Amino acid sequence: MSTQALLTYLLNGESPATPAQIEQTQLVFGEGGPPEHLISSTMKAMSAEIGSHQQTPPIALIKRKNSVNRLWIGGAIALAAAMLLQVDIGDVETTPHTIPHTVQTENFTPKGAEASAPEVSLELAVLSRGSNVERFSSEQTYGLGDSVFFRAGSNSSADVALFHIEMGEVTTLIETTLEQGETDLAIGDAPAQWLFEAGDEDALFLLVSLPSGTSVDRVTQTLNDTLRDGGGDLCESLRMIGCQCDDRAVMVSTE
Amino acid sequence: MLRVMNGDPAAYNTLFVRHKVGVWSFVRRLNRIEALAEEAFQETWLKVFRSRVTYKAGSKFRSWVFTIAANTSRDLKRRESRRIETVEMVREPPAPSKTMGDEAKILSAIDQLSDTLREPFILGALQGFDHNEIAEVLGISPSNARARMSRARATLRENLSQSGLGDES
Repeated sequence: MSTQALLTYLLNGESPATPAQIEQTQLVFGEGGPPEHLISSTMKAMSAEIGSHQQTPPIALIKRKNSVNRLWIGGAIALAAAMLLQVDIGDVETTPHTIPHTVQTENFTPKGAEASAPEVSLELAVLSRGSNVERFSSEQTYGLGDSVFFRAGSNSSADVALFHIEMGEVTTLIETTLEQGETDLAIGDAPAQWLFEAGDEDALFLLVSLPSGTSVDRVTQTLNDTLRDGGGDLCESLRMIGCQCDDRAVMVSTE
Repeated sequence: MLRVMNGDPAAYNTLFVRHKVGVWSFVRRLNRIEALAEEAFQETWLKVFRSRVTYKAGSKFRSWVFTIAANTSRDLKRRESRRIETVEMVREPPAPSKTMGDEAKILSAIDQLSDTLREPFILGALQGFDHNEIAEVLGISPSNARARMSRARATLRENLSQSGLGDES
């Protein structure tokens, strides 16, 4: 490409350019690939990053969405689901569930601006199309009519909030207090349930423990900030403000 | 990308191989300091993995990764400028001069563009993005992307004419 042709393209060209124009322009400017040492160091860093997340469950896509009213309680279906959950849960295969070992914190002195909240864990129980509880799972694709229940664990008494993140929108589903051990999250006396409906997208459920003095609004703001800034590890962002969290991704197929 | 989101390292490597040249070309032109470009490149790819939760299925991966690259470059430049200013003034790129070769003059003229104009110009002219894609990457409207491209070209023409280089149109 001559200098004049290049100038004509750069100064007068209309987007989109043809692949040939792009290729020739990049050739003129010597736009080769990144230096070998950079490729090597980046791939090493990537491997380390992936390795450090190998125990993290797959994280679902996030898309914007407005409907948030499917968390419901009560009614015959919920009660039936709760009963099924209670009856069948002993027979289903469960993923290994680890509650971080309990630490006696009474004698600890909080350091820094904020004391860290108790560690928490989150498991999902799947009620498949209203019929039977299939499994606890973090790698399941859910379909229309499926619903999930939430089993939370904590290594000590904790104020927690359950968030739903879909299409970049953060919604608070439940605010409650957990005792040490495992608890099925409930609203009132009924187990909380999320029913998948048409139009649902892949999403993330996030259980967050709140240190004293940290509001749900602040957690929501932190999540929104992290998402707006291009993402990153959401739980890591929350740890920066003293929270602990666990997440479970759900893939949704509504075909 | 869906495989990446499921933590598949092979899929991640495939994306890296496919887009590394484009991403490097982009961050290199955005960052006048090569070390900063290298940091932006590496950080971009780490963020691709860390931020996979924010990827929207069905959207273009290329637009998404360039968005991360643009944001990362801006963040690094902000951080670097704060750090450097305590030691020395940030060096401005040399203006195109008549003693430079034509290609160097053009590159220098592009580097002279403000970030607001350089980003869309590089995406459009050097990466082949259309106005809609530029808008998506930069988080602006397509009409704004078109306007910035137009202003970038006008400014570039002015910069080049000062170095004795210009188109004949």
